[in-house]
Amino acid sequence: MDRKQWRELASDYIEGTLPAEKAKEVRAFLAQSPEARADESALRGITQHLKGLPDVDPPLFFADNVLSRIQREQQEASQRGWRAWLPSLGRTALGSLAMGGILAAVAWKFLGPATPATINEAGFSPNIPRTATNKVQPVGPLPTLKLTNLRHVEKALQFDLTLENADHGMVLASVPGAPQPTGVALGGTGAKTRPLEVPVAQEMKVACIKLAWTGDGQQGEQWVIEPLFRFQLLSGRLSFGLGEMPLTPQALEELARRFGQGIILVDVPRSERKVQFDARNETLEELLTRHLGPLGMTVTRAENRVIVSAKR
Amino acid sequence: MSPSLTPLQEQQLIERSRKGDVAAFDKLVRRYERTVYNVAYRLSGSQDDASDIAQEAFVRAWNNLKSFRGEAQFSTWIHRIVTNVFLDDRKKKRSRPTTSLDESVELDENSITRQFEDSAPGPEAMMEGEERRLILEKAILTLPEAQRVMIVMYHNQGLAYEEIAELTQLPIGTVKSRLNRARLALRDRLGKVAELFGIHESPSLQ
Repeated sequence: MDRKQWRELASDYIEGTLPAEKAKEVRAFLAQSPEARADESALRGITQHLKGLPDVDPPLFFADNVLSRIQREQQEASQRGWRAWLPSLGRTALGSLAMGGILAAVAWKFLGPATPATINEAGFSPNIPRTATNKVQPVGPLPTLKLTNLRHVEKALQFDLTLENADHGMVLASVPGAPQPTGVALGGTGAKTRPLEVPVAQEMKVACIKLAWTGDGQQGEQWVIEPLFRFQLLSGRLSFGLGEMPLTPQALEELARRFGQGIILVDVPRSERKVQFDARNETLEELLTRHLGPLGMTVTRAENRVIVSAKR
Repeated sequence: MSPSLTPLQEQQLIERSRKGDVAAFDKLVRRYERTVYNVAYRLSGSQDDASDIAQEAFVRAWNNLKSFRGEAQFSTWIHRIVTNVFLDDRKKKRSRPTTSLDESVELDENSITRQFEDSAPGPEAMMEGEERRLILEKAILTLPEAQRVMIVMYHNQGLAYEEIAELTQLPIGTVKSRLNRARLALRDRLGKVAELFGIHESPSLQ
């Protein structure tokens, strides 16, 4: 026997699975080979230490994150399946979107008469907080735009808009990338509550809609960030680290997507600052409260959506 | 601590999961997360990679539950998946090569191995258990993937040859010889340091 042959038999020898005759041969070789004895000793020791390597703990909330990913992917897959049945017109529109790099080709269709108007490119307005357009300070409750009954219908989002505490006003609705917003009048001779339907591009995972409004000399802004798929987190809690994100509606889309929940921003002022977004086994509401509360915002919940408002 | 399940409970959870019951699959994930994560960690040597690999393994398991016929144990099946995810991950990384000083240069099982060089204290120094563990873990990561899989499955996870053979779709003889080569490769990489792991037994006692 030589060292090469010994090494081929080493594991079987150490585990005691060699036939008696062969084992005897190995023992004889070991007795006369210091190198082989060193091999044997090291292999026994390594084997023992390998078995003793300690387990490591999986990251906190590992299982939660696995499950939320499965649920998210299920929803996305079901959306893909649904899109396969769309008419070719829809697919053509998708292709155009991809080529143009436009996030959403949205055609606005109002259920009722509407007055088109133009506003600046979608984005946080420099002076969002409720600001009087005249010098007269209003008496009583401030005008408010109320968004209710937000729901998904096929290829569109529908919701109702109500102008409260004002006789008449105007809402301009737009999405980032869309060339022109469209306006709808509220109050005056018409209804103060108007339903609105916003067709959404099939490729979108999260819709992001800006509603800029004026009423009785006041103005305000709301952003609707709404996932276009639905899944229910088992615990509603997630853990992750997204790093620093700018405080923009577009950045918050990622949070809406992860939690599968909508976010509505009400009069949140424009900010260049970045926020370190991480979740520590938190609900979306808890996460936003922890990160945005110190920045002067209040976080509440309504209709399974989280509402972030600038504190008055 | 992973919650323990009786075979019947596990079978019921698998059945429910196959019908799309996410809550049932959640229980299976919690039962096996520690095992799967540890396999991924021992194979990849990185907690970050392990987390990604283990998560991907569970997602693949969920997506392929319909193909799980129950001929193998669920634990064997999930072991196979995490091993495949690790190997796929390495393949992808090899196709996008990056230079890393820590990375092993040997990727093929039969390639010539280089001696493991360790910056830890020399043989003269007394090796504490923690140092020894770190050296051993580092040496495992220098093994070719096929050998590393054998070491992790047999020694860390305590799988039998038959289970590894089923898991890797290799004949038992190949598993045994691959494991033997893996042990010897470890011994060679550790070089003189290996002697400090040594357990001396008199050949006459065998």
